[in-house]
Amino acid sequence: MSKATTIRFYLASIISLTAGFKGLSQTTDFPLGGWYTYNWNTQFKETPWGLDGEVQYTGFEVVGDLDWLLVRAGVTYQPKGTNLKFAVGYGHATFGVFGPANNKVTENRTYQQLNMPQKFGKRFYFLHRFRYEQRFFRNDLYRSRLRYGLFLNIPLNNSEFNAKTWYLSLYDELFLNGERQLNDGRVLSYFDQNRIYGAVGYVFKKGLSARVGFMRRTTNSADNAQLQVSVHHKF
Amino acid sequence: MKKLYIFIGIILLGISNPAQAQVDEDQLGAWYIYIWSTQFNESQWGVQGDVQYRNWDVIGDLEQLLLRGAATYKPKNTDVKLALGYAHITSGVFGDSDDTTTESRIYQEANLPQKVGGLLSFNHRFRYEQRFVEGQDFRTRFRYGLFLTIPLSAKTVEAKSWYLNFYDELFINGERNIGDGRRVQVFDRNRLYGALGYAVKKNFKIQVGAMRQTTNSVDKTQLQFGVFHNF
Repeated sequence: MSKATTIRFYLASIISLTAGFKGLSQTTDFPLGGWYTYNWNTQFKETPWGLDGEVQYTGFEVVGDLDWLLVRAGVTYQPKGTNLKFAVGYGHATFGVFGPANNKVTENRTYQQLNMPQKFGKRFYFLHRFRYEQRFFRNDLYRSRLRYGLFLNIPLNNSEFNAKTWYLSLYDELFLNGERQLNDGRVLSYFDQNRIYGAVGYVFKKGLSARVGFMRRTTNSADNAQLQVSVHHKF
Repeated sequence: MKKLYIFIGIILLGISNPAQAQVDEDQLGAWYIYIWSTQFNESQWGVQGDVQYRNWDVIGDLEQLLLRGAATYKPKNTDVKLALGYAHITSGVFGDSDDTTTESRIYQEANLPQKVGGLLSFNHRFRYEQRFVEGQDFRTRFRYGLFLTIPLSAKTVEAKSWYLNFYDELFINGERNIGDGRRVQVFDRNRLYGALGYAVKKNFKIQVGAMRQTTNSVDKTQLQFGVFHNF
């Protein structure tokens, strides 16, 4: 593919993704939402230890009408001789409600995580991520959640994520409820939600990339689509 | 009279929820499993299948008889194994009744094996099933299983060595309306398994363990006896 056709191919992909997700979002009462993330991680030199975290702002609209604001950070550990990465961390979230109301709910959460990266062929970079969250809301409301995500990144004009590499990023993540009987009387089903995502990414320099894509989020009661813009930073 | 009401009750329950409502969770079940696979010489193609005889009790009260076969394909330069197959299942109800229902399904599968630290062998298995169940509308199901093998008496699972095997597999319903107004949840079931294994030969292994299956309504444990044969 020449450069021009390559770019045209990416544009066509973005447009068809957009169209696809727009079609989905119309089946619900929610407008297209927005989701903005800054994701970082760092490794301490010559040790198995590191840090990672993110700031996530999501809106019921593309901009505005807060859905949630999440700030999260963790300590990571890579056992020697493996490419596994364990993490324990803490997150704080503020949730808004759909529409003009300004009510807020806050949450403190702790989590444990296991990342299992896996590469197939020359370009298929998979990551399996397992996460267990303990979620504390006000009024002693406690919930826990198990998450499994399968992430796939495919570099397009390179076989690695070097500077000036375009790539595709896809994932699906499933959330299951731990506690099913909440102490506010609610009874939950095992299934909490599913997130399916597709994006086009670009590596500015090794360790710094950005993605633009769409995510469809399905719960027992709602199904909505979100525009996602994220920055991924390793330093 | 009381018996008649119970009888009618059981029938009604049976109609709404065929194999679940009357299950005794404390009844220990047993599943007897034979799993085989073969690879065609110097090609990327192979065949695999399994026979599973599942009992509500240790033996005799049929839960399911499952027959499955598939063609497999290994893309070059990867460990990935893809499969496309068919299964036929006969399901019985818990207890004295001999009633059965049948299911035909086709499925697609991807296996992503992964070695960690020289000792741990993981396999991630993804399966997508298209299910034609007697008395129900067309259904689909997604499955993800994480399998782990840990050799005990040698560095790998080789002839005359012991090993441990664990897995957890999650089942998610695609279609939620299954006909006649019946609606299922997204979560279908989870299976958690642990077993002790012995490799008689490198390609012939035996596993004895237990598996706990959790659905929205039932939480039940069964013994599992498995024979794994690769030829």
